[in-house]
Amino acid sequence: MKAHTLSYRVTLTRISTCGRIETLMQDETRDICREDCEEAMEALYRFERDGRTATLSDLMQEPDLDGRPVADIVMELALNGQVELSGDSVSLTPRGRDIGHRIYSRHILAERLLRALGLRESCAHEEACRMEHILDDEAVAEATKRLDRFETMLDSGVQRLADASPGEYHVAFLATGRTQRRRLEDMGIGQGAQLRVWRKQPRGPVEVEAHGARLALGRGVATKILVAPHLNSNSDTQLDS
Amino acid sequence: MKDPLTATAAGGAFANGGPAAAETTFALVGNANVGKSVIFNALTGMNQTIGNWPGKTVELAQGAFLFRGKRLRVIDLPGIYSLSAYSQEELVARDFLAGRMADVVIDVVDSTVLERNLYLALQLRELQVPLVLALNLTDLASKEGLEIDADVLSMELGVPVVKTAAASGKGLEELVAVALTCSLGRPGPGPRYGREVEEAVLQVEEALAAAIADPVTASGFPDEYAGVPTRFIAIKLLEGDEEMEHQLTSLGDVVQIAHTVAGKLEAVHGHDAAGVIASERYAVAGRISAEAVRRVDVTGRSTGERLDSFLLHKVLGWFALAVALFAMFGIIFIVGDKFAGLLEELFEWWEEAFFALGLHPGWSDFLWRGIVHGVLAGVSIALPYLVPFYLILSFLENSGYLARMAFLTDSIMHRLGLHGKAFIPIFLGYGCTVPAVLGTRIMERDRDRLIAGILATLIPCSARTVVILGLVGAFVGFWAAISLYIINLIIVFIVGRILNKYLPGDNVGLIMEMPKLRTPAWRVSLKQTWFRLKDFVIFAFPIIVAGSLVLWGLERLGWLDPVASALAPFTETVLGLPAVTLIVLVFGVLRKELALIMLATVLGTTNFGLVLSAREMFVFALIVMLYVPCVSTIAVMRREYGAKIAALVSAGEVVVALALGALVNWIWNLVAAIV
Ligand SMILES: Nc1nc2c(ncn2[C@@H]2O[C@H](COP(=O)(O)OP(=O)(O)O)[C@@H](O)[C@H]2O)c(=O)[nH]1
Repeated sequence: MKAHTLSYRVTLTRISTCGRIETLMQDETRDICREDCEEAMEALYRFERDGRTATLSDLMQEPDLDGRPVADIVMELALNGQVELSGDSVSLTPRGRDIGHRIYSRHILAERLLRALGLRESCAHEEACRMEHILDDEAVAEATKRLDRFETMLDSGVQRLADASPGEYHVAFLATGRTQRRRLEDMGIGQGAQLRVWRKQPRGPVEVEAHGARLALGRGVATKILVAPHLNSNSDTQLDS
Repeated sequence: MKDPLTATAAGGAFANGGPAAAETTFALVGNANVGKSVIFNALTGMNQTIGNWPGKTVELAQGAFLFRGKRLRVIDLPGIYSLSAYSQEELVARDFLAGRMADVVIDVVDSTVLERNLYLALQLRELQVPLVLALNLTDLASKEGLEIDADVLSMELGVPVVKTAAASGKGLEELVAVALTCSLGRPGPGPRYGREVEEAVLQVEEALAAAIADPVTASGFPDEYAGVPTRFIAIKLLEGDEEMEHQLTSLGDVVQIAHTVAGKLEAVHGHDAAGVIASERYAVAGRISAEAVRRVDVTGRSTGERLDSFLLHKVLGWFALAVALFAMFGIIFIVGDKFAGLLEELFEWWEEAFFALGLHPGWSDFLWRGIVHGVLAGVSIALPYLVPFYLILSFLENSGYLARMAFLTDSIMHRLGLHGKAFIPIFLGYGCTVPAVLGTRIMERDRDRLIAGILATLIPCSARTVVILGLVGAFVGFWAAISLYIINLIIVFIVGRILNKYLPGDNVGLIMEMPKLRTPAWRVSLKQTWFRLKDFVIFAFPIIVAGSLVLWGLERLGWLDPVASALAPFTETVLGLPAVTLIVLVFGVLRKELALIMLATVLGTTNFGLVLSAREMFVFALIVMLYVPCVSTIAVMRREYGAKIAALVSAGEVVVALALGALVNWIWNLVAAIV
């Protein structure tokens, strides 16, 4: 959706929440680009989700649209048939809603991922605002599914085998390379397998029991095996099922 | 049945012997530490040879024996956990079995960990080889209160099961008798797995059958696979087995079909098809073992477990390790010294007797100094030190303590880019470098083998220890000798770091079975020691004798002194050593254990304190400790890693030793000048 050119002059410097000083635009002819439109539709989608109708001034106060030519963007969207204007309020058309929803999903995924990796909330948000314009929808859907699974795992007390104290566990995930995974599977430590941690050496290997046999797993290996506490032998909760 | 020896390229492995007309061939397969070698030794007695699988550093022992008038051949395959193609051992075993080189396969299983052992048994069933299960270590199982119903097991697996206790020879005769009856036919397919997996296998099998039946694509099916069941091939393809895929790439689109089917399996289960199949096997193994095994008395913690919580304790474990190591060396050296002394006296007496015979002086000199002396020197190292050493090693292995050592030391070894298993060969290096280099075979990957092997050659073996203790320890002082060991450890550490950094590949971690602690059977340990000693003698003696001959020749020709004088500037100024010591260093390559005696000969006294300064002794011992390993070691390195690496390592070590010797000499002089 290539916007027709509108001239717009801004001089704007802002300090990003990540601490960088960035000069967004400086005395330049400002085109309305795809990102602007997507950002606005996403913002409108958020309003809708919260059950509010947005007005032009609401949009202008949106931090994510800060520094963008909001009025022109809304004009552009209206021309494209992506928003409807009635009086002061701006609302999405079905077409606009679809786009808004997609951008919103991408943003959420990107932000969750970055948060999971340990970035500060503000920083994750800002980076996600950038990433949302370039991610592929299909990949987003797949990655969201995996991230969901991963978070359920974390919620159920998944930890690295290297950190697990003696007790009963089952293997939640093998984050090893192919050869090592095959080795482990052959030794009875595949995904879903039950194992018992016997002891571990400080900063050294872990001794586990699987299928009645004892194994020593080096620390490097043990950090790549994610285990969840095994509550009782009947609830064979496999993550992937 | 085609003759296994000529049927394939593997024939070369056994070219060195064995009765040619054996009628039936048995192959022993099984996990590590289940008693395969014990069964093998019990069956074949002394009649065995060890060959190498062509192109691989995997040893295969073969032997023959007579049973009820029939000649039988047995091959002991390496210990494996699976038939995937991820280690050389597995690949060798799989090639051997799939190639139908054995008439009967005897799968030796540890009854105390039946479930895990059944995993391999199930794969052998997939391969549909004529199979007998030897349910070994039954004595230990009943001690643990396990009762195993062999009939249930046999019914579930569809193959005969024989209970054995190999260490005491129980059940072996029945095992052979039952195995002989199995050689006649091939069993049906083994136990079924879950529905989804079976459907996937069936789909691939159908595609495979269609491709083989189609004259257009049939040529893509290798002849060696003619006897391999399609079920096995299909399962391997689903597992994404690279070797199998490689072999079958030109067989129509079978590989692609297998990928698609595997992809569906993955979509359902969320992890890869190989993992799905592995857990199916374990599910079946678990079910079968639950049906066949009954725990009759549920006692609390066993003695082994209590001992483990001490031996593997965070603090006490190290204490136990230190005590064990000291005790070990104490025994080796005290016993070794005593015997070496006795043997020397004996040989001196022989020498006198020999020269008293009144042969022609030239001849007797050649015979004695050139040949007999070499053999005797070999005997006087091999016997006094290696016998206790091998005995203790076998004791450590068979009791399960060696694995505990690896467990404790894994984190240290990790910093050298190795894992705990490498502790064993490197530690062996303190005894003799030759078995240490051979011992690197316990590691799976070439990279680990190489790093551990190189480090092992740097460790002062007992011959070098003699120089360190006999020269520096006796004439400079105890702490000087200890400091040499510390310098050595630092160098080993640095070299390990460098190798780890610059050798291609990365450090994979430790995945090792922890065998249960058990009391080793003396008979087994003695036999093992005997075989190892025999192997060493056969391998090392020719080299020792040849070295001794060369030495004698050089001496006779009078080539040594000119060389020593030519290099005197280097020896005297750079290393600060008397020129004659260079001769000893050159000879030391051939016979390190004689370095001290030779030094005494060239200096004309055994009281080294009178003729050498502390600095000279220290530098000399330092160089002996680090420069080229002896000829026998170079020979094993060549066998294990190839000529290029052997040459490179030897040259590198000479350079390091000389450079360090020069450095220490320089520093010592500098410090002496200041003080
Ligand atoms: N108690 C007992 N020990 C056994 C029996 N068979 C083997 N062993 C011991 O098990 C250990 C491993 O045996 P080995 O033949 O080296 O195993 P491999 O790795 O399969 O060749 C040795 O210490 C043997 O003494 C048995 O039937 N009973």
